[in-house]
Amino acid sequence: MNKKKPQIPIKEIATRPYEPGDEAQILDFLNLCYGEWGTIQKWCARYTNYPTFNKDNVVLMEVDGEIVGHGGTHFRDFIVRKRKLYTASLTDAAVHPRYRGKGLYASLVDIRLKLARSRGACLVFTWHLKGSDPYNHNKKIGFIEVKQFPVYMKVIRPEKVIKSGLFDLLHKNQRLKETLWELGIDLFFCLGKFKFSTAELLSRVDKKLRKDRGKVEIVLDKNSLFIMANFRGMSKLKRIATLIMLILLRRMKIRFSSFKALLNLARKVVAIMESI
Amino acid sequence: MIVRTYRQEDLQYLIRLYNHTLAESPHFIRDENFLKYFMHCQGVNEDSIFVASVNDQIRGLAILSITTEEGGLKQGNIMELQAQDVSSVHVLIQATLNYCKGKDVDTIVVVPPRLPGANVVFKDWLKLNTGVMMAKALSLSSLLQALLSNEKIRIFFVGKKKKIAFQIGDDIIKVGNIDGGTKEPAILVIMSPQTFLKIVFGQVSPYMAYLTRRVRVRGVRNALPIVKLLCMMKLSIPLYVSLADRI
Repeated sequence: MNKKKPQIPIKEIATRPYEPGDEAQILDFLNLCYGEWGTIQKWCARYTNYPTFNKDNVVLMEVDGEIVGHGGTHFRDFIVRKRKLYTASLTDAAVHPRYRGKGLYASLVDIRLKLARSRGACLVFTWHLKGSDPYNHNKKIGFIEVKQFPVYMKVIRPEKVIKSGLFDLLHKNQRLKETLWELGIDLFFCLGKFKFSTAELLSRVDKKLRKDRGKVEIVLDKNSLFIMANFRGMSKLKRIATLIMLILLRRMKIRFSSFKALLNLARKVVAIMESI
Repeated sequence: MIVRTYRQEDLQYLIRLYNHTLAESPHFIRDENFLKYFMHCQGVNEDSIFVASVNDQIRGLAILSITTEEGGLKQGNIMELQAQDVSSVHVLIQATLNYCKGKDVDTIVVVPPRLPGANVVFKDWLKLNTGVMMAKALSLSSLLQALLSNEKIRIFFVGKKKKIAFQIGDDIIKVGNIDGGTKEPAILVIMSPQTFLKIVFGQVSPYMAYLTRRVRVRGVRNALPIVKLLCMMKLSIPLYVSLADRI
């Protein structure tokens, strides 16, 4: 069986640098790919206002005038033993959901590596979630992991942090998003008095359609945040183990409104575990 | 010690502060252009840049930006936090916390500076495993030259008449007594670019790489000095990558 993914004919995809006036279209595209990437001001602060900005640093891929790929490159010096090394950082790679799995990400990386080489960069950096597709691809083409200083977080409102984390997780995992939507039940997360549903996170609230559906509540303990904080950076196996551990430690409880809701969830539990 | 907001005339002193605090850590450049850029990033206000000083001597800097993230989370990002001592870190963190309280922030994130005892300040903070930083070498010769500029390595080469030829992937880079006029053949060291980078960034021990034949050295008696040289090339301190760097 030929496992190679189908490639889009090169002539269908036009690659070009950023041009002033593209900002609104780029933003719509990034918000579609990332769920909630940000505003035009954020994009401009990151790119056009950057000290070494050049319009070639942003690569856009188009099919019939519609943006289907975006990749940024930031050039800057890196100081090692008081010597300056010119480096490039690959940022904000995004491929339209319709065109994923067709080799566009690999092309985006390749184009930007060529650009970095042509500008005399001796090192290229990039940041990815461990185990993600871009991480695996970059590892295959010779990138290695580099140790960096850790990040610390002070949580003031745990409920908002959990909601944001779940929002991010769902919008970056198309499969999980679809699986949860097809559950046929309303899934709620509760932390103290704070409560929100997956429908709210998926921005697909339609009360009429969902009236007769069962309800499942996942009640989280405040301490669960300390375990959940690094959920995004975990491998699939570790994520499943963490969820099981949270249930066993009674830091996460599951409540059902009806037997039907329990059955619906039980039926889909394997699909959820697979896509998590 | 006092904490006040940033003034334009502080810039040159801040660059001096960075030169002092980041002297040992590999880091991205922090010159006038970049510091000004950090201070104009999204969510940074004039009153959210804090400077710690003692008798008008600048001891630390914190640049805070407040952004609204996924799902409406209001996040305080301490984009830059540099200080000469732990007490400066403490007062700067206190100032940013007070500022964030007034702005109804849900969470605050920071990359603490590398200072002995700084962990005490962050003892009730969550340590996060964020995205993994990855690196790939495009030109090995400039990286090798930078790594060999270490004082210890210069001493290592003094008195050694032999040249060393690093064959890293398809590149051959000769170092050592190149102009010494010696006719002796160079010591050939063969490895892949990935192994070289892993050694440099401390992911693989040069001894282990040699024993597992990921590093090959021509001539058994040359092996030990070459492995020692590779150990000296290793960057022993992790990269300082602040939130402002993680674009």
